[in-house]
Amino acid sequence: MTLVVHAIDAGYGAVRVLHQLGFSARAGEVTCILGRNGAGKTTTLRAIMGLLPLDAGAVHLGDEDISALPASETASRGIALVPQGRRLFGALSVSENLDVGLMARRASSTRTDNDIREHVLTLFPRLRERMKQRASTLSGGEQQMLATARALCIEPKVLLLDEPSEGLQPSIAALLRDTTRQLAEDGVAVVLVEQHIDTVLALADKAILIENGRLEKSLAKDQLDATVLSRHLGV
Amino acid sequence: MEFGPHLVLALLEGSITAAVLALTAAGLAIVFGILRVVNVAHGEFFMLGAVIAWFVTTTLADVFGASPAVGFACAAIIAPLTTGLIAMLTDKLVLSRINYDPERTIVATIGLLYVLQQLTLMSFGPDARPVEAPFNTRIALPWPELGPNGWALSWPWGFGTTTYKLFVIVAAASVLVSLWLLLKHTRIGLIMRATEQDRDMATAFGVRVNRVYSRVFGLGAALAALGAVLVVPIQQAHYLMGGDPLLLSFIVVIIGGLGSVSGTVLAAVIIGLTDGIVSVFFSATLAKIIATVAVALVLVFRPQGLLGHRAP
Repeated sequence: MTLVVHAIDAGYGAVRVLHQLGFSARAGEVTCILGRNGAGKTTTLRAIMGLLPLDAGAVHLGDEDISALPASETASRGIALVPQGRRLFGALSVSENLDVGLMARRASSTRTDNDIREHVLTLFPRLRERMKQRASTLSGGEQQMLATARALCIEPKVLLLDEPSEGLQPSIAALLRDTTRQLAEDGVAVVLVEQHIDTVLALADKAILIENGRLEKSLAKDQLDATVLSRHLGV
Repeated sequence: MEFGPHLVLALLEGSITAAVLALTAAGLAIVFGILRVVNVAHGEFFMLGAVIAWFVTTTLADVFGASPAVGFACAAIIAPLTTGLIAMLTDKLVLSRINYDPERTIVATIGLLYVLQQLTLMSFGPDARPVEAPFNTRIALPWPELGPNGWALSWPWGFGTTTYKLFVIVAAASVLVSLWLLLKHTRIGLIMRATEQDRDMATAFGVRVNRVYSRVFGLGAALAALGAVLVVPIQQAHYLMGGDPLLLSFIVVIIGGLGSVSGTVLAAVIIGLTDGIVSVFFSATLAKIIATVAVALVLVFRPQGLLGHRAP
């Protein structure tokens, strides 16, 4: 299923961050959003989730205009967010964090809670050993695994990942990269905000460059190289 | 009466205060913990519970000839439910419209305090209204004494309690255990705790946060009302009775740790027992002074409260 962002304007109060931003993310592809700090990458993901009201434009998932829905309905349509900084429910256990994800899973899902839980624990077996542990006491890598696992409990059609490799040791970042690629191959539309050039080159099927909340450029996979990316990433 | 039995009586009286206070303050604590707002009208929900209990028991007795036990049982259901619904209506009409802004909520709930108080005065009048206890058998308590023939049980005059007072302690404890089970072991409890942790992320995972807020506000008010129903056969219902529970609830919520239900219950036990002992041996005013000084000390030396967490 394709996520289409149609010329959206969004911001915080009187401060407009996104200006007529539009792009699409197709099922089975990883679409990277690139830009310097403050360009509006995280704001874009929040606007897609409905956590920020749109001042103009629309977001479509397939044929449905999801920008008209309350934010709490977005997850049930199959859009999941792994936010920057993980934002786990820190006082809840690992198991309870997964339960929150399972509560939001798509109504059309035919799999049981146990099946989904087993699936995400197969992807991240380290979490199985930590099920009773408070999420806030996990290591950074484990927290990122849990944030991803919690989102996967929704069985998303669209997965929004906001800087998932930030501050992680290379082995964990590689594991998450492999998982992301596998999800795309399984038919999920992945929208990835990322600052690491290696990760973008390894994962992106296409990329959009944002500058001051405006779409600067769209790049196909064969147009992506380290020199081009380094001009558009970082501070 | 000797010091020992006197102290036990003070502890019993303190336990009743602690039980009712824990219920009332737990309501305030969950509202603050989850909605992050200070409900200044919380004491008026307590007062409403007491007045509705009087109205229900009196009406059932006068119209249907119901016994005090039947009237009390009905009041224990109707008063918290009605108060909870009034709170949910308030949430919909006022708090959600000001988007739970902390400062504006304080002002709005001060207004609500006076509206509820004056409406009660206009409807039920200024008199204190008694509610008959459903059962009130006196229980004489034994006291061990060392006599010339060794230890023996004596029955000091005036050393006893009533079945209703023991019931208040057991009922409040049962409700608090149920609240704990609700929060820790049910789906709605998980939703409430997730919302408390991170409103945005809870929304992103399908939680209708405004609905949670409304229900939590209603639950907090219902707990206060239930505390009042339990205590009204001992204290009488009156339109100005909400002040003390509000002050004491703030005291125990601050001492226990803002938003921490377990801390609030612990603080209620400490303050309740202290209140019982100091009131019996010295004066009720001194008990209030000690509680207020305790809040000041906690704010200075442990601002996060006994079981609260420091802000990151």
